[in-house]
Amino acid sequence: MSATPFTSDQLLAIDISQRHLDACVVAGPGSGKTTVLVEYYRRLVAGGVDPLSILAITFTEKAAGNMRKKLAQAFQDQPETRARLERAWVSTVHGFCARLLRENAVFAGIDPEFRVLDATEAWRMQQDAMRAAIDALFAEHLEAMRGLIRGLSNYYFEPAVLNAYDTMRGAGLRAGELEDFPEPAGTARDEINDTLIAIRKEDLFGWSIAQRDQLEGAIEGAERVLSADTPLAALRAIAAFQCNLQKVKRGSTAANLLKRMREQIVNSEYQQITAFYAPQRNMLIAILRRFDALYRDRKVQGGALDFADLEEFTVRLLEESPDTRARLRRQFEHILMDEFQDTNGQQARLVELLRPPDRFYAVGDINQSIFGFRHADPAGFAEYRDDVAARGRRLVHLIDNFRSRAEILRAVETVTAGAPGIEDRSLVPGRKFADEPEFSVEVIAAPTLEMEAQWVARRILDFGQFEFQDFAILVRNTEVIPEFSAAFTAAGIPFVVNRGRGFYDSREVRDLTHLLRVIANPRDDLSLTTVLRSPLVNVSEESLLRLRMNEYSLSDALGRTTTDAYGEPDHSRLSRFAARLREYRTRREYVTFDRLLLDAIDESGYPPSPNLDKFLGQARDAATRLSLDEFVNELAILRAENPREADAPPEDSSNTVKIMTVHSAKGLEFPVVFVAAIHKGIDSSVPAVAFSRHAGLGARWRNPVTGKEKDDLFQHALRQEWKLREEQESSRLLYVAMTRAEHHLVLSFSTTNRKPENWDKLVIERLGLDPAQPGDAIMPFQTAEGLPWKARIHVVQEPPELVARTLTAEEEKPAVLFVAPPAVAAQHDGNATVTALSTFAACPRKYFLSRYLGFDSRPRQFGEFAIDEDKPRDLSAGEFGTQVHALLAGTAVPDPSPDALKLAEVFQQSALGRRAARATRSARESEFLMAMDDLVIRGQVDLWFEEAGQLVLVDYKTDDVSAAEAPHRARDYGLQLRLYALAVERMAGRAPDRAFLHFLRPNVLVEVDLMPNLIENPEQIVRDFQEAQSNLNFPLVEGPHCKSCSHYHALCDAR
Amino acid sequence: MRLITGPAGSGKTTHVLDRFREALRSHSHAVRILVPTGTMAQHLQNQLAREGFLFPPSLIQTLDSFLPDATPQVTPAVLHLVVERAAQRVGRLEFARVAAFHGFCNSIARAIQEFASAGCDSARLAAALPEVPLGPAFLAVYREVDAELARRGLAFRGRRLETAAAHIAVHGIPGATAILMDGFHHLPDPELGIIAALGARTDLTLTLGDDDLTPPLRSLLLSMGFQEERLPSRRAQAAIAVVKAPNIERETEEIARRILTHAAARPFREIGIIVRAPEIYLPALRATLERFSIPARFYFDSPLERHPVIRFLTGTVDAMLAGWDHARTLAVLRLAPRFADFPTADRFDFAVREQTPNSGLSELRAILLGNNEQPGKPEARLLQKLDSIAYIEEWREFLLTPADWAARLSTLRALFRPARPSFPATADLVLQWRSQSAALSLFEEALAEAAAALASLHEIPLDEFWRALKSVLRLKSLRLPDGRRNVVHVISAKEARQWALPVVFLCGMVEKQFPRVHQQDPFFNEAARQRLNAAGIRVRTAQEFERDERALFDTATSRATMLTTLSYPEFDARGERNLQSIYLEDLFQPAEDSVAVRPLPRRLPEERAPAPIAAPDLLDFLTRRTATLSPSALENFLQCPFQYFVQRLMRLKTAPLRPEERFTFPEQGNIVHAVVAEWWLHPQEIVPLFERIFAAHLAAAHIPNGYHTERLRNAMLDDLKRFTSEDAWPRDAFQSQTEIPFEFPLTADLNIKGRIDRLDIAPDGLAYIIDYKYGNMQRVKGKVKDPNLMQAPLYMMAAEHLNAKPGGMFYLGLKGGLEYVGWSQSPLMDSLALPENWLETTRRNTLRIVGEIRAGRVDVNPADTGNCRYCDGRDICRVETVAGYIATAGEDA
Ligand code: SF4
Repeated sequence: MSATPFTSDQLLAIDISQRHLDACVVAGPGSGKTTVLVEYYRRLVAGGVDPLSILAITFTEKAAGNMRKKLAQAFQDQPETRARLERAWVSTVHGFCARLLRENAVFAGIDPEFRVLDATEAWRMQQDAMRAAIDALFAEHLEAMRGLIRGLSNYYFEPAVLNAYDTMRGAGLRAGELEDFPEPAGTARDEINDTLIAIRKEDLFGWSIAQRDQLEGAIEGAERVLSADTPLAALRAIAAFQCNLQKVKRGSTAANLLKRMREQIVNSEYQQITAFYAPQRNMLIAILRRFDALYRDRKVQGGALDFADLEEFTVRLLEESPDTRARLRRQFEHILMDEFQDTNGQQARLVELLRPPDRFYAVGDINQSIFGFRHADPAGFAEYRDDVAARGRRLVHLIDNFRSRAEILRAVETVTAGAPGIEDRSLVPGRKFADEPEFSVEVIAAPTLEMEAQWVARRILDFGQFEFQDFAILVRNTEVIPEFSAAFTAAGIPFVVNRGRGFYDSREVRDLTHLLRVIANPRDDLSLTTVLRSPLVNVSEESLLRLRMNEYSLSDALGRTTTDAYGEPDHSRLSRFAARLREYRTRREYVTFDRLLLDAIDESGYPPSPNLDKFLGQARDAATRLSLDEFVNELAILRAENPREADAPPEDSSNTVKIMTVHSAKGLEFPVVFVAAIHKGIDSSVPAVAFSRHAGLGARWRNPVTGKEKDDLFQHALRQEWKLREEQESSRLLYVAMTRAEHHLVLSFSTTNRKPENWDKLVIERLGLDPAQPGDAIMPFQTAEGLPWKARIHVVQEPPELVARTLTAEEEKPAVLFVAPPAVAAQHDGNATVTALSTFAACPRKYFLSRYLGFDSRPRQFGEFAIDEDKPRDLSAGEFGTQVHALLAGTAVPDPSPDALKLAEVFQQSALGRRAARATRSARESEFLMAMDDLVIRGQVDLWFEEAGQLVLVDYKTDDVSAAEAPHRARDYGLQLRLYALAVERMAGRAPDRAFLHFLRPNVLVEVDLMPNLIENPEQIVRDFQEAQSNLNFPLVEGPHCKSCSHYHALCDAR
Repeated sequence: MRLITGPAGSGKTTHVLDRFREALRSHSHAVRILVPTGTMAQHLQNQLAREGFLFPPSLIQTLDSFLPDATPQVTPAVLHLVVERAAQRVGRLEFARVAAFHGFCNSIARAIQEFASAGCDSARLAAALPEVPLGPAFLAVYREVDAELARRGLAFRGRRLETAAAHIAVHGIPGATAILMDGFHHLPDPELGIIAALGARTDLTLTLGDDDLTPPLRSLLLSMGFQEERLPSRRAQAAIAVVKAPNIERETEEIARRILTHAAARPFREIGIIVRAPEIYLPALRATLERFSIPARFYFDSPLERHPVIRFLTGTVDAMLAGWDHARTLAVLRLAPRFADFPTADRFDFAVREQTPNSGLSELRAILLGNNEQPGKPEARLLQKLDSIAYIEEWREFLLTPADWAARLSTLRALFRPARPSFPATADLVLQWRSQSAALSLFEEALAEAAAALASLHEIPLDEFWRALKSVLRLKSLRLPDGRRNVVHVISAKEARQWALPVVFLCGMVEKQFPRVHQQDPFFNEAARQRLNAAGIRVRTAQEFERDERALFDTATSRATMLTTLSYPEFDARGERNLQSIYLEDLFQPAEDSVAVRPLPRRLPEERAPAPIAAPDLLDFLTRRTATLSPSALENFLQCPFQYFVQRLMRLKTAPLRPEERFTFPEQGNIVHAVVAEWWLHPQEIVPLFERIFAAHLAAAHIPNGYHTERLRNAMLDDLKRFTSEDAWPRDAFQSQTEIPFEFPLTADLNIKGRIDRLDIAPDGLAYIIDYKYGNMQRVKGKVKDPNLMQAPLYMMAAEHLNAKPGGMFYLGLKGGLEYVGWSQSPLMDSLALPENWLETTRRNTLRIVGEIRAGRVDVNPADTGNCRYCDGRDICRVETVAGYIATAGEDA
C-alpha cells in the first residue's frame, strides 16, 4: 500500500511469519511507523487472521480513524472483510475500554448504559465532590481540619489534591491504598547520635577557645535535638541548632564530623515534619478518600464514567473475572499498540492482563515520550523492549527518517545527544530532496521577546518558496503567543493560533454569556449593560447613563424609552431589544439556548467566528441537561475557575501560519518549523500536595517553629523523581519539536538579560554560541559522531526594518453570504376532522385552544381533592356519547350505562327512529375521508337512510341542553351537517333531502338547512380555517356560549 | 398469495394503490391496505382522498390497529418496572451488583422485548438456551417477567399477534376479501404467523424490497405458498451531491442555504432532510431552520422527562421532599409561566439567592415579604402560589394504594397554569403551547402506567410510588403533533423508507454516525445469537445489523426523485477531526465546500468607540453627581475614564454571589479594618475580638461557615496577630483617633469626602495619617511610585480641615506581612520626604479630573492594563485581557 518500497528494517517489522512472537518496533521520528503498523495489520488480515481477533490501540482518536480508513481502503474490493473491519477493534485505549465495558457491563458491575464524561464535565463533578468532601470533613472534624489548613504550605490545596488523585488513578491505585505506602527512610536519630559520639571522642588539640565554644554549642544543640521528646520539641531544637563551620578548626576530623552532623540534623527536619504532621496527613488522606467516595457515588447516580474509570473498571474486570479474561484472551489473537511509550501505569497493566503470550506488537520511541503530565510512564516501554531483546524476540529499530533534511537531523543530534531523557540513536536521512540549499538550520537570538517575534515575522516574509500554510511556530509556553501575534499582524502575515486556551475569556463568549444572564434575570445590571453596549444592541454611553438616571431599575427602564429622550437609533434599538428579551424569556426553557442567542445574533449582525460556533454548540448541548439558570451558573464557575478551555479550531482551509504548542504538534510535520522562544520554560514546580506511585502522597508543610515551608519525607522523595522527570521530558519535547521540520528549521530565543536556563541553554552550550555578540554568519558544526553540518547564526540587537505586506480582501474579511428570509405561505394542516371544523366555525379561538393546541379538559382544581373510594367513577361526557352511538349503531356494548340505554331508546321510539327502521337503504356510523381543496377531512355520519323516496341525514346529540336551548345549539352544528351531507351525497349517489339533529336528552328534533348563505357554506369555512392556521390568528367569538366553555376566564381573554 | 418484489423505488406501493383504486372505483370496500406505521397509513389515505376518492379511513390501516382486540399490550414503561421488580425477586448473584441500575433494567427489558418480538417466550428460550455465562440468569428474569405479565393479563406484541393469527385462522376477516400489505421490512415470526393466517382466509398480496428479502426469507415465503412477481423497473436515479462543512453548525447552515435555493422553485413540502444521528443533529437543525425562517416539521420524539412541564411537576414534589430547599424550589417555580410577573419574579429570585443555602416554605415567604407588612399585589399573588404548593407537604405522611397515589398526584397538574396565548402567534410558540398540553396529558398517562405497574402493592408511601413514576417518565417520550403540510420534512432514516420527495438531504455522513457501530448485547453475544438463529429463534446478528444499516443508507439515497445531497462536518463539537462515512467512499463523488452563510441581519453591525457625553441634561446630571467626590473615585477616573463611568456613574449591581464567593476581598478588608480600629483604641486579646467581629460580618453577609471561610479566617487572624505583636509604630508617642469621616470643600462646587482610618497626633501637633490596606502587598508598595495617587495628598488636606497639622501619610499593608510605605516630615518608618508642592499639584489635578468628568469624558483608556483584570467594567468596555487576546488573535489582533 505504500508507494515507496519498504526498507529492510521495515520489511522485518511487517513480516507476519513472525507473528507468533512478541515484537517491539522502536520507531524514530519520520520513520513511517504508521505505514508499518497499518501494513502489518493488513498483512495479518490478508494472511487469514480475522480482523475481529486483532486489537489495535492508538494514542489518539484521529490515529485510530486514519488506521481504520486506510484498512478499509486496502480491502475496498473485499466486501466481506471490509464489513468485518467496520466492527474491528481499532481504537484508543479509552475507546477500547468503553466498548469492552459496554459488552461486559454486568461482569464489570456497571450500568450498561453508562456515558463517558468529557474532561470539563468530569472536572466540574470533581470540583463539586471535592467541595462537598472538605465541607463534610470540616463539619465532622473541625479541629483536625483546622490543623490541616494551618499546616499545609498552601491554603488552596484542592487543585493539587485533585491532580494527585489523577496521578494516583493513572498509576492504577485507589484512594484506599494511600495509607499503605511506607514512610521513606529519613535520617535516623541513631545516626546523629553516632556522629555525636564520634565527635566527642575527637581530640581537640590545637583548637582555640572560641573554636571549642563553637563546637560545644553545636554539641549542646545536637543533644537538645536528640533529647527532644516530641516532634515539636525536636523541630524547636533543630531551628535553634547552630553550627558555623567557619568558626571551628578547619580540616580537622572533628570539623568534618561536625559538618556531617549538621547535615544530618538539617535533614532530620523532614522526618520531624512528617511526624509532627502525621495527623494532618491522615486528614489529607481522609479528604481524598471521602472525595473519592463522593465522586464515585455521583458518577454512579449519573450513570457516568470518567476516563480513569474506563481504565480502572476494565483492569478490574480482567483481574476479578478470570473467565472474562480467559475469554478475551482467546478473542484477541494479536494485540498491536502504537505509541506505547505514552501509556500510563494503569494502561500498561491493562495490556499486560489482556495479551496472550507472544502476541504483542508494540511500537514506540522513548525519545518522543512527552505526556508525563498526563501520567504517561515511558519506563514500561523500556522494560518491554529490553525484555523482548532478552528473550530473543523480534526487536526492530526503524532509524531511517523520511521527513527531514540531513542537516536538520544532524542539528537534532548535536543539540540533544546525551541530554537527560534522550536515548542516543542515530537519525538516518532517508528522504531525497530536489534542491540543496546553503543551509537548512538557523538560530535567531534577539535581546527581547518582542524583537525576537519581529525577526521571526521578517524571516517568514523573506522565504520566497513557501506558502504561509507551510510554516509552523512551535512554542512551549503559550504566554509568549501575544508577542508573535502582534508581530505577525504588524507584518500582515495571516496566522491562526491553533487551540489557544482562552475560550471563556474571548469577547464573543463573554457577550453571549452576559446575554444568557440577562435572559435568566435582567436585574443583573452588569450583564445588561454589557449586552447593551456590545454589538448585540450597541447603544451609546449617553443612553446607558440615561437609563440609569431615573427611578427605575435598569431593566425596567429598558421598556420605557422614548425617541425624544433617547433619539434614534438608540430608542428603537432599546425598545426592540426589550421586546425580544421578553420573548426570549418566555421561550427560555422550551428551546435550546443557542436559538435565543442566534436570534440576537441575527438581529444585530454580530460577527461570526469559530468560537461563536463553539459556544452556540455548547449552549445547545447544555440545554439537554440543564435549565438556563443552571447553565448560567456553570458558565460563571467555568469562567471564574478558568479551566483553560480550548478555543475552537480555526478553519484550516486557509493559507495561514500556524502557531501551536509542541504538544499539539506531535505527529505532525511542516516544511518550515520555527521552534520559538526557547528561552521560555514552564512552571514545573511541585505543588503543595502531590503523588507518585513510588513515594505515595506527599505534602509541603509549614514548619510550626520557623513558619517556613518544608516537605515531609514523602514529598521529599517525590521531589527528586519529579525533577528528573521534568528534566527528561523537557529534552524530549525539544527533540519532538525539532524533528517536525522537513525543509527548514529555525530555533529562536531572546536573551532578556538573564542567564539561559531552558532550551536556549542547551542550544548555546552545544553550538558554542555567544548571544551577546551580534552577527549573522553561516557556521560549521559537527555531531558527536563527527558528521558536519552548517547553520546560520543570527544574533540581532535591533528590530528588523518593518516590511509589511497588505492583507488580501479575503484575509481581511472572510466572505459571508447573506440570504433573505423566504416567503412562507400555506402553513395550514393537511388534515382536519368535521368536529374540529365545526368548533372552528363556532369560535376560532376555542378551536385553537382545544383542538389546535390540545388544552382540552378543565383539570380538577388543585387542593379540592378528595378520595371517595366507594363511589364508582362517572362516565365522562365523551365516553357516554360513544356508548349511546354504539347502541344506536347496533354494536355490542358490554355493561352499558342505564342512562345510555335510555337515550338510545329515545331515538328508537321517535318518529324519525321509526322511519329509519323502515328504510330501504341506510347506513349507520359511516366513517369517511374526503378532500376539500387540499384539506383531507375525516368524519363519521351517525345515520343516513332512504325512506319513501327521501334521503335523510341524522345526527344524534347527547349534549346536556334544555329543550329551549336546543335550537340555539343547533346553529353550532350546522356546518357539521352540511359537511356530512357532502359526504353522504358521494356515498349514496345523491344529495340528502333533509338533515336533522336529534337532541336526545330533551328529545328535540331540529332540522338543519342544507343550503346556507355564502358565509356559512363549507368551502368558505374551509378557506377561513386554512387561513387562520396559516396566519396563526384565531379571533374569539364572544357570547353567552362562553360561560359553558372550559377556557372561559382561563386561557381565553373573553370577558 | 402474491409476493411483489423489486428494488427500492420500483413501484411496489404504486402497484398496491392501483389495485386499491380499482376496488374503490367499483364501490367495493372489501379491500384493505395494511402498513407498518401510522404515518404511512396517513400518507396513503391523504393521497387517495386528494385524488378525489371518498372512503372509510379504516380501509388503510396499520397492522396493529387492524388486528382484533386481544390481551392488552405491555407498554415499555410498565415492562421496565416489571423487569426491575422481577430482577430483584429473582435475586440472581450474577446481577447483584447491577440490578439497581436503570440502564441494566433497560438492557434486559430490551433483550426480552427482542425475544418476544421474535416469537420466543421464556419457555421457548429455555429449550434453546445457548451456553453463555449470563444465559441462565437472564432466563430466570425472563420467566419471572412472563409470569408477572400473565398474572396481570398483559402481553407482548408478539403474543398479541400470535393470538390474533389464531383468531383470524378461525374467523377470517369479516367484510374483507383482499388484503394488500405494503411497507414492511422485517418479518419476524409473529408477523409471519399473521401473514399465513391472512393468506389462508383472504386474497393476500405482500410487497417486499430487495434489501429486506434475504434468501432464507424468500424461500420461507415461497414455501408458505407465495407466488413471486418481480417489478423490474426502477425510477430514474436522482442526481447526487456531496458537501463538506467545517462543523455541524456550518453543515446545517449549508443545508438551509440549499433549501432556500430550491424553495424558490418548489414548495417546502417537496424537500426532506434525513437524519441518522438525531441526538446530534436535531437541535442544530431546529435552530438553523428556524433561523433561516424555513418552516419544518420534525418527525421525532423528545424525552418527556426533560420537558419543562414535567420538570415543574416532578420538581415541585422533589423540592418538597428536600424540605423546600430554596435553590431547588426557586428553580421549580421559575418553570411555571404564571408563577409571577417578570419583575416580581426577578426580584424574588435575587432576594432568595442572596440567602442560599436556605430551606423551608415559611422562610421563602419571609424573604418575599421582606420588611413589608403589606405585600403589594404581585407579591400577594406570589404568596398565594407558595401557599398553594404547601398543600402537598402532608402527602409525605400518607400511605395510599398506587391507584390513589395516581389520582392524588394527577391534581398536581392544576399547579401548572399555561400562559394565555397572544396573537398573532408564531409557529414556534404554537409548538411550545402544544407541547405543554401534550406533556400534561402524558403526565397523567405516566401516573396511570406507574399505578398499573405497581397494582399488586397495597398501601405505599409517596417516595415508593414516586420512584416508579420517575422511571416511567424517564422512559416516555413526547411527539409533538404538527399537521402542517407545506413544510420541510425532517425525518429519520427509518421513517424515510416510506417517503419519496424531489429533494432530499442526508446529513451527518461521518464515521460511527452512519453507519452506526454495532453494539454487542451484554447478555447474548454474537456467537450465542448465531446459535439462537440456528435454533430458529430469529434474533438480530451483527451481520444483519450491518446489512440493515447499509439498506437504510441505500433507501435514504434513493428517496429523492431529483437530487440527493449528502453532507458531513469535518470537525466534531470538541474540535476533533471527523472521518467521513465509509459509505461516502463508495459514491466516488468529490465533496463540494460549504459556503459561509447567514440570514440577512435585521440591523447592520457597526463598531463604535465610546463617545463623550454631550447632552446638556446629562452634563448637568454629571455636575450634580460630582458635587462631592471621594479620593478613590478620582483614582478610578485616572485608572480609566470608562471604569469611572461604569463604577461610579452607572453603579451596576450584578447577580447575587454564590455562597462560596461571598467572602469577597472588600468583605475581608472591612473585617480587618473593624478589628484594627477597635483594637487600636482598646488594646485587648486579639483572638476573641477578631472572632466577635468576624462572626458578625459573616452573619450579615450570609457567608456560610466552611473550610473556605476557615482558611481565610486563618489568614486574617495570622495577619492581625502579626500586626498586634510586631507593629513597630511608636504608638506611645501619639494620640490616636480612628475612623474619622471628613468632608471639605475644595472649591465652591466641589467637596471631597472620605474616612481616615487613623490619625495619630504627635506632641508637637503634627498629625500622621494611617491608611490600612488589606490587599496585594505589591500594590501597597507600589503606592509610593504611583503617578495617579490622589488619596494620600487629599487625606493630608483633609487633616488640615480637621484642624490638624499634617505631618505625613502612611499606607500600612497588612496582608501576608506588615509594611509601612509613606511620606512624612520626619524619617519615621523609612518614609519618603513629602513631595514638593504636593497639595497644590493635587488640587490642580483634582480640578482637572473633575473638569473632565463633568465634560462627559468616558473613553476606554486604562492607565495600567494589568488592573483591567480586577475591573467590574472589563466585559462592558470590551478591552481584551491577555487570554482573550490569544483567543481572537487569528481574526482581529
Ligand atoms: S370563552 Fe368564548 S371566546 Fe373564549 S374560547 Fe371559549 S367560546 Fe371562544
